[in-house]
Amino acid sequence: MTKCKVTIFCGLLLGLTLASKTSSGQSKSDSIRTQLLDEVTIQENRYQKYISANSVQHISKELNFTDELKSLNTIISEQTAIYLKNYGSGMLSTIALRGTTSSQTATFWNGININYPFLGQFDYSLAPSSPGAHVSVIPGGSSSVFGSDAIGGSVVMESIPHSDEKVSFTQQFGSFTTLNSSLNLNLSSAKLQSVTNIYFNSSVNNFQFDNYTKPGTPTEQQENATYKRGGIIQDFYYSVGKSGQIKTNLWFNYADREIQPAINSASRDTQVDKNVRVNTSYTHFGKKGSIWNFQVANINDQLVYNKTQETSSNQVNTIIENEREFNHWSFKGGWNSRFYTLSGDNYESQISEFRTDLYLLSIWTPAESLTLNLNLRQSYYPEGAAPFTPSAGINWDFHKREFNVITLKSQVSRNFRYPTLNDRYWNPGGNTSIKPEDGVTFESSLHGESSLSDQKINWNLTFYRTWVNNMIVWLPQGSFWSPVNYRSVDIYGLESSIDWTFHFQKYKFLKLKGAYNYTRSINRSAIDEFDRSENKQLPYTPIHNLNLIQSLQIKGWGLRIIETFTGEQYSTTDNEEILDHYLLINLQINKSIAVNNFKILAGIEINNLLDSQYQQLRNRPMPGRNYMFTLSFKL
Amino acid sequence: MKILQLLILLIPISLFTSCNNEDEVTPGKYDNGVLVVNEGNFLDADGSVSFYNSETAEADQKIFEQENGIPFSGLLQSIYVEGELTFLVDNIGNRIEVVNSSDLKSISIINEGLNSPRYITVSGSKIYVSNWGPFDENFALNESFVAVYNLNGFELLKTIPVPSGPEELISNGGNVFVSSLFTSTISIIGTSSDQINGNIEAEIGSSGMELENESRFWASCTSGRIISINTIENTIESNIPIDGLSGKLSIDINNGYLYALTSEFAPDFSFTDNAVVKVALNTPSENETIYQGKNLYGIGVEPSGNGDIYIANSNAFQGNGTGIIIDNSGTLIESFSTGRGPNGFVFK
Repeated sequence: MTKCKVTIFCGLLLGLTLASKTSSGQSKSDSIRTQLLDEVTIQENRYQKYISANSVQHISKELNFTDELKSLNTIISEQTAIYLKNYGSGMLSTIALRGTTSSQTATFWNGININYPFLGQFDYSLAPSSPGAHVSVIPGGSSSVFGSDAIGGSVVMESIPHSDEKVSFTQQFGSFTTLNSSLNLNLSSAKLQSVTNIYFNSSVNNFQFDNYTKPGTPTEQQENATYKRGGIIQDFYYSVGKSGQIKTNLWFNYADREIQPAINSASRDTQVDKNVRVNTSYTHFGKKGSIWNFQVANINDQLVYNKTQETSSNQVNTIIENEREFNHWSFKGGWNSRFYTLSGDNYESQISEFRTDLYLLSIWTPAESLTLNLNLRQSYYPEGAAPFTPSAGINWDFHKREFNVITLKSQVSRNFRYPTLNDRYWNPGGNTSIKPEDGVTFESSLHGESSLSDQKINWNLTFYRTWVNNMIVWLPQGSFWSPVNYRSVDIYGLESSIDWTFHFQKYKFLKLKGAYNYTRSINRSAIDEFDRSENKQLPYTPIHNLNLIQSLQIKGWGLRIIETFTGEQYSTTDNEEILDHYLLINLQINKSIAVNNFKILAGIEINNLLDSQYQQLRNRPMPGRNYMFTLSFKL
Repeated sequence: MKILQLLILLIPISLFTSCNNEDEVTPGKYDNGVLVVNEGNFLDADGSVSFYNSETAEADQKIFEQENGIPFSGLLQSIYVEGELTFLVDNIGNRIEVVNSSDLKSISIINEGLNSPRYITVSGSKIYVSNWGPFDENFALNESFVAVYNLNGFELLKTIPVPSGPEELISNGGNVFVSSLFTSTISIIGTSSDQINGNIEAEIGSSGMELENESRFWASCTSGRIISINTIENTIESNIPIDGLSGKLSIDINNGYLYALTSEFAPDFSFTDNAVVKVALNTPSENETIYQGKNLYGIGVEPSGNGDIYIANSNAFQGNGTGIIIDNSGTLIESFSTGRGPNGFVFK
């Protein structure tokens, strides 16, 4: 296998020059300081106050116009040290939070879990990064707040009205005949706001790669990897009187992809995904701090494999919840029910299933800098009760000065994941008596924020420990495969990040970000006495992940450099087969010009600057150095 | 088998020539030992060949890659040895690597006329390859065929349509017998005309087939039947019901036993036992389970000496597998590492 160039990129070193400045803060710099602090508190999602974690990643804040056309997997990989596994370029992309599997992360859209019910996971290459949606990644077990699937963490997408441009159109041209387009409309009147995003991505994706399986390692072109996908996101926000709001969100997505085969494989497979997601919620802000929220959503997912094998699922979701605030307490209680129907070529007949959750989340603030939370949640499905999933946490600002805050957060939680509808009903092999997976997580983290007149530093350090049991693995049972609650996994790890922003003149700033994740996810089960996988790292779980970002903005010019280092990973449970570590560097230069009322932005990106020949799945090459040119018009 | 007899013939000749002949024929690196066929995982295409030396009890992994500098990169379904040529069948790459039997170095690649190739047999100067062909929209195989190649030069001579899902083939007396995983027909191809000149109505799911002698071969059928076929009359002689046969079998000709892999499952899928069933060739209704384990995916009997049985444990494709050696009463002798998804052994 070809080795990638491992050149450690010594970018800009971070200089911590805080010591002398903590007590100054004169009036001239106050306004800037306030502005900087405001950036931090603005975008929280509605779940965060019930979770005692410092490692939440707010993705949308960091994006620029060129990022709008990238799919969510690319955005998360560029902006964090979180690992996403791509089954080829532009292919299925799954997330692995804190050493867990792709089906142990809950994917939430406006309060609804949109993991495909039959697969239990979400394809992040099919989620655009729309300006109308705020995305946060919350690592850490959080079933008490999010329900099933949130063993490793959750990705939360919330549609929010935004105050960006009224109209914007962005077009991208890239290597391998890649075309990406996005049109955004943001219209508002006194009571109604409409946010529209229409997106389209296509690529021939015939990148070149070194075929190391043929003598002489010839350079060949990738075949059977073209894709096109597109969709519409439409949100309406309507104010009802003075104390109510109706929100309607619609997301229609269509993707037609050839599936990139392994090197030399003669397979020529295709997959079509069609998703229609509709959500309506009514929120009433009552007297005495009581908020009622009623939601109804319909999620329809259809997958067609090789034009003939179809699977189709529908989910009707109803939520009623009430949130109340008192002096030192707040509570949120609710009922969430989901009705699934499933049909397809691989099930004996049409299937329907009903699941329901009851939950009570509570926060107590006994002192100004101390908050305690206790969450309770119980879920039910046709086989009975799921594992009871409480969580308890503490937030303590133990060091609080005017420009310096250090917060300690700790929480312990029980989490679970229902077997997927395929685990239960696939024919042959599905088994309805398979138990849910369950786990316990403990985490503790420190977060520091320092702001001065012209600088701001945020840093995070999280340690976590997780035990997962009854993990479902499909094993051969004679002539077919069937799921078994077979595996136990011990996980421990560290997440660290630091973010330094320096405003050095009116329209100039420099930002340096770094994040490092250390993940040990260890299998504690063996199939038999010949199985050499006990006490070994789970496959496709790199131990080290590092992400560095440098960005410089001077008036209308911007420069951004991103380095991502992914450590060695194993492709088998016995760790006898290794996938090399690799380093990816992306470079971007952009310029914006204001002309009358509108802005024109242009950007050039060079991705994989080092032309690394890397793989995330064995024998699936990924593109080498490639280019992207972006043009955007905003009114 | 043939190679061993050839070697035995060569020994007295080499004794005469050794004194005056300076360049002796030194045994090739892979001339004595066991080749392990590692399918690899379908997604990763990491098929490989291992080599086990029973004297040193050492296993060498990825020997195709070691000798040729490039990985096999495919799903290795089977290996067939014909004298100095060894054929490696790549089921998903639609290719057959032809290598030198002694040092496994690449000689040629057969690409033409293959569509999901499975197993090989050689008759005279022709190579016969069973191919599943493409799946139709209902996932049925209606275009399975046997591809015929010239042994010298490997050019495609003919393709012969056969019933759905052909697996192993037997070459015997001017005929090639073709199994069928999805029907009950065993086809007979006459090698002089390369046409089907007869059928045997057998049991559904014939997969593994092996010759006992020049007039009889045995087949393991996944419908739960071990059958023996008389190749002079083209009729079924024995037909023994055994539950859960996986289709893999191997014959100990010297001692008169057949070993077949079976699996049983508990109705609640809590566990499956994979077992090795020992069948006495002369009295096949007498059979017994001699070994039980998990994920037993291949079996082979060492043709010389004790008749030790080699079993391939695939570890459910989660990681690399293990080769387990037992004696003919089921006692564990030895075990060794293999590659991913071992499904068979070739003894040299």
